[in-house]
Amino acid sequence: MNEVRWDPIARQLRPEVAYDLGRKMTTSSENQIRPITDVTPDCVVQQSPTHGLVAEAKKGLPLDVAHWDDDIRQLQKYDDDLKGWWTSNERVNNHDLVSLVPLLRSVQFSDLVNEGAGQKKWSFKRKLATLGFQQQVGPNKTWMLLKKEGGELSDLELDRRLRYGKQVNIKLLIELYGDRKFLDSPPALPITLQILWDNLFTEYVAIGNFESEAEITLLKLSADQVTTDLQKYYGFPSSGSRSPEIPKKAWVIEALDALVGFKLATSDGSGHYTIRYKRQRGDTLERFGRLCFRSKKKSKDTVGEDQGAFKFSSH
Amino acid sequence: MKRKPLPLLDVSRNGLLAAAVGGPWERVAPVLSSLRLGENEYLQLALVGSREDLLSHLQSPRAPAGLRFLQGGNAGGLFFYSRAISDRKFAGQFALFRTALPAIYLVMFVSARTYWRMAISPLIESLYPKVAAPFLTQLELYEILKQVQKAQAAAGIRILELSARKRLRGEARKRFQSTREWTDEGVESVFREARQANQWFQSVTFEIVNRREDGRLYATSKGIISKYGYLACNDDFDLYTTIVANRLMEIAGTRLEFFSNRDRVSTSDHIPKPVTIDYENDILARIDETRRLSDALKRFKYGSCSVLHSNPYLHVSVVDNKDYSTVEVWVLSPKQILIVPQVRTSENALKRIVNHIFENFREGTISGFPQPV
Repeated sequence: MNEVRWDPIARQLRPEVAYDLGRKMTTSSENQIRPITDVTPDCVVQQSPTHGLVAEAKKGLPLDVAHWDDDIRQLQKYDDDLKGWWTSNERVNNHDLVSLVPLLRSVQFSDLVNEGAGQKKWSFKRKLATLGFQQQVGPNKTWMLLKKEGGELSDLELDRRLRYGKQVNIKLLIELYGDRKFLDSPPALPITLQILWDNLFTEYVAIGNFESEAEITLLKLSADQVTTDLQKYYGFPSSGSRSPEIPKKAWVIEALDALVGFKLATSDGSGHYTIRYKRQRGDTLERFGRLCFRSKKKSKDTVGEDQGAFKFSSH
Repeated sequence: MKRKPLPLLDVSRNGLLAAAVGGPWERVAPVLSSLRLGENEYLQLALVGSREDLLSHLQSPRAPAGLRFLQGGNAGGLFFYSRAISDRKFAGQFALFRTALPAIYLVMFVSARTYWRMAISPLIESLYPKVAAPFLTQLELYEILKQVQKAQAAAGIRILELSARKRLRGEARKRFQSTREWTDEGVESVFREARQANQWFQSVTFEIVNRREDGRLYATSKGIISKYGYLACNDDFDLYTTIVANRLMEIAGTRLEFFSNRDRVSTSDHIPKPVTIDYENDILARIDETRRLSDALKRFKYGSCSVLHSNPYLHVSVVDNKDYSTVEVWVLSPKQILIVPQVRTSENALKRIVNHIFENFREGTISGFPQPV
């Protein structure tokens, strides 16, 4: 997304490029996979009033290549006259498809796309490019490497840059985008809990006027308020009906309910919580990791206890 | 030490404090040229930063125990403070002034130095996070001493005592060694040796010296400057206030402003403004060095630290448990530490974290902050 926004001549990000993570797009009646339905590709970028890109990212791919077919068919869903762009009729003339996969798998993935097309397993009307990504630690900087390993893009300059390979400084991403911690799928629960405990609840305690019990501050808050604040500081507030809210309220409720389970909070059952907040020395992430693990283990053990006895037939 | 001839109207400690009532500091400073101290007495100045109305706070019911407001006005006030430790009691008066710099206050008192160590310094620390002392880098400390030396063109200054911390190399279980050394050297050689020995100064005690007609040196005053914005002197008050105190105020004020409004609540787009600490060499190239930084952050006083990623790059969350400020510290390059303020990061907390890294890992250059020439 950052690379699409980048203007190499002006050496700055193009302010007119619109983008969204998990944007709700609508397929047409001619969609090969899911006609007239809402789909949410990982990333939608509109480079101009007439052209855009739709990208789907996979953090990992299974070793068994046979499972990759589904990921390729997912891309077919987006090979359609999608509605939901930032234009007056919500359409663009054309868009490219981009598959982002781990660098080590990118050549093989691209080969599979081509083989499948040759075998008529699938076909794409639009351009499809396969980009490999990998985090690299170099002698001077830590990068995210992006390299095009197959296919092509309509933007020839972008295509060339990615064909050669582009290293994007992670520090730049942190500074430009403010280190957004939430994307379109929820992080592991301990991470969400650490963000709440160390980053957001500290602000509430600092500015609020809450009661205390011994050294514990009783933070009264609502899931709505926490969701709004997390979106504002660490995610993406919705900018319209097609624009997702990240993080989703359901993720926040899961985290707050986990705190209730750990006896670090109470709930009134209607989205309001009282957090029993106390700062401690020590690693918050480690602490919540342990609590989540124990809680998971306890619930598995409980399921085992409820298992019914074996029944045998009489004969 | 040879004292200057007494002025016609000399001012004692009590006279100074009486003149100080109501402030402002700029009106009080010229009175210091007439100050006469008793034996073992020092004029002591300490700078503190606070976004609160500190004068009002110290007169309020929330003021610390042992503190009593005596008199004063909007620009300055006179207080009495006493603290008991076991069977010893440390008591005295101090004046607190606003300065021309927003959020920078000056504490002034005349006493033996024990009153600073046992009463005023702990009082300032207890007021955190409302109040925080500034910090000077080694380079800034050197620069101030050079300015004092330059003002004494005839002879200059001699370093008498250093309170220092030295980083121990190798596999020593103890990472740092605190030392107090007595010396009789010039500024340049002392700082040069410190740099070579990986040592930094918490305070420097020195004499301002002059030359008699026969060429022999004699001391006109003794001064102590600490890296935490504290100054003590027993004469040459004009010189100390115009050169040292003013420069300390300038550094404290500039640093406070530099660290302000960087957190997500303060910026218009909720994107924080990071601070970077740069080093000349690739000191963070090896994993044992990033681990050392991580261990140092875990020792952050009144803080807690969560390691979010440790290898090959470091990413750590640090919370100031008194102030409820949070930063995340990243090491993404071998020559730089990136400190990213989070939802709420006060300037005092950010300053404290940077100084903690300087003292417990290594002092670097704060990118974008004016460096001494």
